[in-house]
Amino acid sequence: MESAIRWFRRRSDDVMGILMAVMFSVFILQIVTRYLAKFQLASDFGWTMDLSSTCMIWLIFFGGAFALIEADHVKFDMIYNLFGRNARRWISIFTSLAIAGLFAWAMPAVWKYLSFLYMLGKPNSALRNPLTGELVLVSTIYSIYIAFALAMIWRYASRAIRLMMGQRYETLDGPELDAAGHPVVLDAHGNIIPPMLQKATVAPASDFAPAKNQPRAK
Amino acid sequence: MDPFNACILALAVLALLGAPISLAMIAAAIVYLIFKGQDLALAAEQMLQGIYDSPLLLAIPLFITAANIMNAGQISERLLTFCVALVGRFRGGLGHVNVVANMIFAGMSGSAVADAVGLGKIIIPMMTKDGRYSRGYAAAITGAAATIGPIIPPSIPMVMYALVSNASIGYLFMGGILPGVLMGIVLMIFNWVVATRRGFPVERSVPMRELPRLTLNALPALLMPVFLLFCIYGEMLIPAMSGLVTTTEAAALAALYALLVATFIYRAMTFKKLHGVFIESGKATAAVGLVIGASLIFNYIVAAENIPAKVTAMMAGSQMTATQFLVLINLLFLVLGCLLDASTIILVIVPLFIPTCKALGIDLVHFGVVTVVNCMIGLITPPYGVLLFVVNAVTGIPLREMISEIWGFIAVLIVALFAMIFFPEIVLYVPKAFGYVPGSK
Repeated sequence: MESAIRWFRRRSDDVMGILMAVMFSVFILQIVTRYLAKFQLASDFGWTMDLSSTCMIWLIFFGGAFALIEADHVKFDMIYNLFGRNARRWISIFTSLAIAGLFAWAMPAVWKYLSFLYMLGKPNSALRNPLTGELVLVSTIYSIYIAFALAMIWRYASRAIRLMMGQRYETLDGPELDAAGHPVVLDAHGNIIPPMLQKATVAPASDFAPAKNQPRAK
Repeated sequence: MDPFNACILALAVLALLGAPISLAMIAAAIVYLIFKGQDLALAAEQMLQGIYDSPLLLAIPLFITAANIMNAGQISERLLTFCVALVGRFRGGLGHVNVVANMIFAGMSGSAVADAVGLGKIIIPMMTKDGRYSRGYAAAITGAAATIGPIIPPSIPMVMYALVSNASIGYLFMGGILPGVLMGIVLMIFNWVVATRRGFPVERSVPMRELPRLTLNALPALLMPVFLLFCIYGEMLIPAMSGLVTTTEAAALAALYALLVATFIYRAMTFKKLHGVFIESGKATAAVGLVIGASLIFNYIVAAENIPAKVTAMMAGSQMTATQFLVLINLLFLVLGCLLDASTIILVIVPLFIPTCKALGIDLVHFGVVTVVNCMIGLITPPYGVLLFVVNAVTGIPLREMISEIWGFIAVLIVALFAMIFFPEIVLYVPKAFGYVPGSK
C-alpha cells in the first residue's frame, strides 16, 4: 500500500512536470508563429493560448488533488501552533471535517453544472483533439475540478477519521513542521526533540515523500 | 444569519485554525452560497472561468520556471563572482555584494523567495566563513535584499495586483524600477553604517585587469534583465515590434533565455535537473494558483455584496485626504504583513480599497507599487516572515539570530516606503517618461 502511494505520488509529480513543460513549449511556439504570421510566413495558430490556459487549469487542480501535500499549502498556523498536541489533533479533525463536508455539500451542484456544460456542447475557441480533430469541449477542460473536489473530500475525510483513531500527523502529512519549517522529531514517548539534539537521532519515517522545508508562498 | 457574515466567520475560523488558506476560502464561499440559497456550483464556476480567462495569470508559472532554471543553472554563482569583483572592495563588502547581486537578480526573477534561495545558499556561507560576519547579520541582509526581487521587474506580486485592479502591468513594472533602486541604496547605506561601526572586513580587492574577464563571464546573465525589458517594452521603442510580445510571452522568453544560457553557455543544465525544475515549478504554481483561484470567488462575493462601495462610503464620511488614506492603509498593510502571506493581502484585502483609491484620485500604478513594496517588507517582518523561514530552511541559521538583526533593515525599508508614498514621482517618473498619464489606466 505504502509503495503504491509513493509510486502514485511520483507519477503525479511527472504529470506536473509534463504539464509545465507543455505550457512552456506551447508559449514559445506561440511567439514564433505570431512572429512568422506578422511577416506572412505562416498563419497564427489559434489554439496555443487555449492549450496553455488548459495546462494552467490542470496544473492547479490536478496538482491540488494529487501532487501537493499538506505542507505545500499556504497556511496561517501561528495560532494553531500555540496549542498542545492533543488540542491540535481535535482542531485538525474539526477543520478537516468542515472542508470535506462543505466540498461534499457542493459536489452535486458541481456535477450538475459540468454535465450542463457538457450537454451544451460548448467548445472552447480553437483547441482540437489531435486524434479525432474535434474541438475540445469546455466541460472536458473543467472536468479536472471534479477530481480535485473528490480528492479533497477523500483526503480530509480520511484524515479526520485517521486522526480520530489516534494516528499521528507525521504519517498523514509527512513530518510535522515547526514554525521555522523544520520537521518536528519525536522520541519514543511522543515528546518533541529540539532541533539542537536531533543530529544524533534518526529522522522520522514517513509514508509520503519528505515535506519541503520551504514555505512556498508569495 | 447574513450570508456575508457567515462566510467571513467560516473563513476566519478555518484559516485561523490552520487549514490551508485556499481551501478555507473555497469552503467559506460554499458557506456563503448555502446561506444565500444560490447555486453551489458558482464557486467552482468562478474559479474555473476566472483562471481560464486570464492570460496574464500564465505569466506566474513561467516566471517561477525562469527563476528555478536560473538557480539550477549556476547563473546565480556567476553573478555573485562578478559582484564581488565590483563592490567587494568597499567596507562591509560582502553585504554590498549581497544587495547588488539581488538587484541584478531582481531584473530576471519575479519572486523574492527564489532570490533568497538562489543567492542565499551561496552568499551566506561566503559571509559567515571564518566568522567574519555574524550568522544572523548575513541571513538578515540576504532576506532584506531579496525583497527587492519583485519590485524591479519582472514581478509576480505585481501580476497579481494587475489582475485584481486592472492597472496596466507594463506601467506597473516600469513603476517598480526606481523604487527597487532606492531600496537597494538604503540597504547599502545601512550596511555601510553597520560595517563601519562593527568593523566588518573588506574583501581582497580584485585587480581591475581581472574585471573584463569576470564581466564577460557574467555577461549572459547580466544581459538577461536587458533582454527581458526589451521584450516587454520593445514595441515602445521600435514600432515594428508592436504587439509582438505580451508580458506573459516575455515570461516564457525569459525562461527560454535562462535555459539556453544554462545549457549551452554555462553547461550546467542536465535533462534530470530540468525535469526537477519543471516539477518544482508546477507544484509551486498549483499552490499559488489555488490561492489565486479561491480569491477570485472571494472577490466575486465581495463585489456581489457591494463591500468596496461600503468601504468607500465609510472613508468618504471620514473626510480623509489621499495622503492620509495612503499612510493609514500602509500602516494597516504593515501590520497585516506581520501575520499574513503577501499573496493573501494583495488578492483578498487590496481589492476592498481599489474603489476608494479611485474616489480619492490616487493613481493605481502608484498605489500598486507602494502596496507591493509594503507586502515585500511584510515578508521579513516576524513572526510570519516567509523570507526568514526560507533563509532558515536553506542555511539552518536559527530564526532568533536572524530576527535580532533584521529590525534595522526593516526600519530603513519602511523609510524608503514612506518616501515613495510622499513623493509619488519616485514611482511614476519612469512610467511618465514612457507616456503614462497618471489617473488613467
